[in-house]
Amino acid sequence: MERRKFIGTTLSALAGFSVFASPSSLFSPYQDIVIGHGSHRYKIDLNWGALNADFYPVNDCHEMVQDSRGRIVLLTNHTKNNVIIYDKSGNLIEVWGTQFPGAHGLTLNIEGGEDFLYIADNNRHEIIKTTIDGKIVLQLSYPKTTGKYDTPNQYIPTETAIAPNGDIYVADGYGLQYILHYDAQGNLKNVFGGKGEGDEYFDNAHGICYDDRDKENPCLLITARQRNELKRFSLGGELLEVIPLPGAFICRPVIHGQYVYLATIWSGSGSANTGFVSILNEKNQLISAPGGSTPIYKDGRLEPMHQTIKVFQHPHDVCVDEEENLYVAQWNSGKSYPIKLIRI
Amino acid sequence: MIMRIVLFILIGIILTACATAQQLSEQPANLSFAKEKQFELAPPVIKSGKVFFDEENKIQLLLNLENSSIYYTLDGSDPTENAPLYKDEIIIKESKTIKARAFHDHFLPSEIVEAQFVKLGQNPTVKKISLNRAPHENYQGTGADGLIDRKKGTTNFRTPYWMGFDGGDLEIIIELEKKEGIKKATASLLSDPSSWIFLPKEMEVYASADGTHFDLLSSRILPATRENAPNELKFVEVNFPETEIGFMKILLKSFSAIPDWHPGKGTPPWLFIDEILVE
Repeated sequence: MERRKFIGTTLSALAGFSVFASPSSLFSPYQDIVIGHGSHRYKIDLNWGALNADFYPVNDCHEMVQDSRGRIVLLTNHTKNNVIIYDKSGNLIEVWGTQFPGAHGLTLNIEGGEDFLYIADNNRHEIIKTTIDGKIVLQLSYPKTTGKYDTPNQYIPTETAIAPNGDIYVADGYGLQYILHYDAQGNLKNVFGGKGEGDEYFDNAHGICYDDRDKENPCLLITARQRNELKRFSLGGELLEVIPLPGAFICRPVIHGQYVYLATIWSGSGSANTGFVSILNEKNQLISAPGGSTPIYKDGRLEPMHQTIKVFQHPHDVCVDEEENLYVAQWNSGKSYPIKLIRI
Repeated sequence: MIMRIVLFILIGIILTACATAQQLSEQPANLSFAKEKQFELAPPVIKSGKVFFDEENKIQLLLNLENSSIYYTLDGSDPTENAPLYKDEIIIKESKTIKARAFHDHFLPSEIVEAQFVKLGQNPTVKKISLNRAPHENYQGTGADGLIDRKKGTTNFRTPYWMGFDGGDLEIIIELEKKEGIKKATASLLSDPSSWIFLPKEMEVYASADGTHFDLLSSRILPATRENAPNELKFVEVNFPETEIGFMKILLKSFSAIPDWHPGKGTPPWLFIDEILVE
């Protein structure tokens, strides 16, 4: 904290003395690089959110959301501080949470004017709903009443999505691949998906979100990561559409405006450290891939995607703020803090 | 007086608060961004319809990154910017290893990526091929005969031609239709460390006249997989002086444990094979 403030002040002062020199030429003979394509291009801030790991350590940075006060909330599976809350500049505000060893999925929902978090925990095999400051208000354990599960260990939920009526959808992305639909109190309403060969089934149903870009026809977007596909389902669980994104191992869809942002953990043949970020337009076509190849459609089909620049190792989630800057949380990337992409 | 002190303190706090807020909004807006020459390029993608070919084969190299260039070699040397620049698809008429590397003014050159393409030569007719153990139930390939069908899996270990073995050695016995002069055996394997699939540590080739007593012809020791190695198709060749062979045994010896740099360290690696070539 102190170090960051000091550097910030020093840099501002220096910039003040060198009005005519461009800031980048002042510090380096090299220009800032820009990644992404078309309308969605970004500069990269690698230092955003870096903390002293002796005090505020992270393991995997799994997911990030922005709360209604504009703060950036990070979920990590380090039980010293499962939740790390930053301002948009990456300054630490507060931390909490020591009881989520498998902290994986993080969804924010505003209910009666108050922010609530839904945490999907891989190790605890349950969903935990908390207030924004960490008080537990609801727990959903393994869905025994479905008859699909024999033991809690088969249930390894990765993500939740909350509908405006409070209904909770859970993706069992590392478990038996079912999508579980509960009411706001946690009563089971429906089960769909599961493992199988057809389009209505999943292979790593890793992420899910509520998509109301078409206000008349809201639906669910669910990733089938190992198949490089995004699937559209009705709120009742019928398959509507499969959106192939060949070469893109997409983690979870995040809607912002008319766009869908997806951290892409691996690409191409799925080698380690080959991730990038995928951005789809309102027609669910890939229009920009920061760190990835130029998206090319031939006869309406996307050419296989791959990484081009080694900016990211394993992006696991993207958070989009109101200025349309991105915060990229990464899995298995040397316990590094998130990377911020500033839209230009 | 007390009021005045309180007021001063309040003003002090407000000023400090403003200063902090200003500092936040004046965060180095364009001072701390990543620069040119800071990141490495990803290696180019090598694309081809087939890996085994009869007459000729076409190979494409691509990165799909504006202003990048790809240089390549076919002689086994490491490509630099003095190597041929890739423009159009490459046509090869012999077995070749292609090595390629991407360059760009704003980024560090990529690692070298390589792929082998094999021209099918005069292959003896195989009467029977058998394995000493069954593959894992999820990765059965197309059976033992699938190892001589000239069908190649991709770097995706789920493609149906791959046979997967969860740890341990694999012994393959091949009975030829008739005794023939043989000088080379090749195993087509997958290296995919992110899926816990590794190359074996050694390949041994034995010959026998009667199918019972085997003599070692030659062997090859392979290096352990380095950290962050990409997913690759690998051909492991063992050459030996031409020998009249009726039966051949190929022994693939796995490492006993995954290397220490890997999350799966200490546990047995997977072995994936999709083809055996005898020439």
